[in-house]
Amino acid sequence: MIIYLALSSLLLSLHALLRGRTGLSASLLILAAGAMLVQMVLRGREEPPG
Amino acid sequence: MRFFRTQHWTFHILLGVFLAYSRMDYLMSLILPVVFCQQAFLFASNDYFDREIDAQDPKKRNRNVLSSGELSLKKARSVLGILVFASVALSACMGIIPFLVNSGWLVLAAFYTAPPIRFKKRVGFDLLVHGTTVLSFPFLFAMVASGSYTVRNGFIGVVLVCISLLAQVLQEVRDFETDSLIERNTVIALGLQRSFGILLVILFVPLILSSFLVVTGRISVVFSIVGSLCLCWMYDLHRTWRTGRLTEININAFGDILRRTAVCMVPVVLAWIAW
Repeated sequence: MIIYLALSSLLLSLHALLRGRTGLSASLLILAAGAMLVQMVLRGREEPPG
Repeated sequence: MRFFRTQHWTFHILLGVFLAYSRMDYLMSLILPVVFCQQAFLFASNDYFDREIDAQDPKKRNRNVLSSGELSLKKARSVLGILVFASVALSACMGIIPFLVNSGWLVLAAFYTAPPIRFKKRVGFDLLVHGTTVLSFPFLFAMVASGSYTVRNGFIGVVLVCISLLAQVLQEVRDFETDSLIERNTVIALGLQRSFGILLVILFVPLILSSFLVVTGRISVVFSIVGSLCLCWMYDLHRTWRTGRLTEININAFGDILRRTAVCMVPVVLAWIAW
């Protein structure tokens, strides 16, 4: 579910960048990066030990 | 009501009509009954012409009142006739263009399942006719009847046609094994792997269109939700493709759509406030 947040934030960030809203674009990019990081950590926890 | 299968389309005709035309006036009092008759005719004629095929499948036999013998063929024909008459008469009150569009659509909808044309078993036509007749048509009809040809409405029309195409391809993928024994459709002709390619193309169209229109400022940033959802569905498709269990795909489950939409709304709302 978090990956959806990351993907939509990434798309919105691109939209904002192309409209010249660099501040908003950067904020959304940070949100996307954060969501991706959480997704990676959660996926790492799901791995079976060994 | 079971013959009309109202549970399959009541919500989307209301949503479609109100998206195109939101005023409660004389025109709306004509549009709503016309689209009701259109959709009832579409689903009822589908059950009428498919009664023998549905009778062979225990699940579909219970759903189709003609296959199970709960409704006689004579009564079914009378009901279909009344629906055609009512929608033609009411659309004629709206003007020549709605009348012609409605009449043309009724012919297309009838021949979607009716022999000898039977579009649903013709490769390519099954998708084209489904895309323009099911789900998207209430919106398109309300747009034509009210004459509200705007960029926003054009965009919503394209998105609804894509959703209808997506629903049809997914249904053909899900029924791939049973349908391949009975008849031929686009997914059976192309095979499952290539059909997944078609799904990606269908999702790519609203993604690119919404991005272009949002970036150029022609539609509200809120419509970015369409692009976000397309991106999420593409991700899900890719994941299903990798697992190889293609016929088990269930990305049109209602709960999943709600959850995905709710999550995608978070950045969209944030961007909308800041925009």
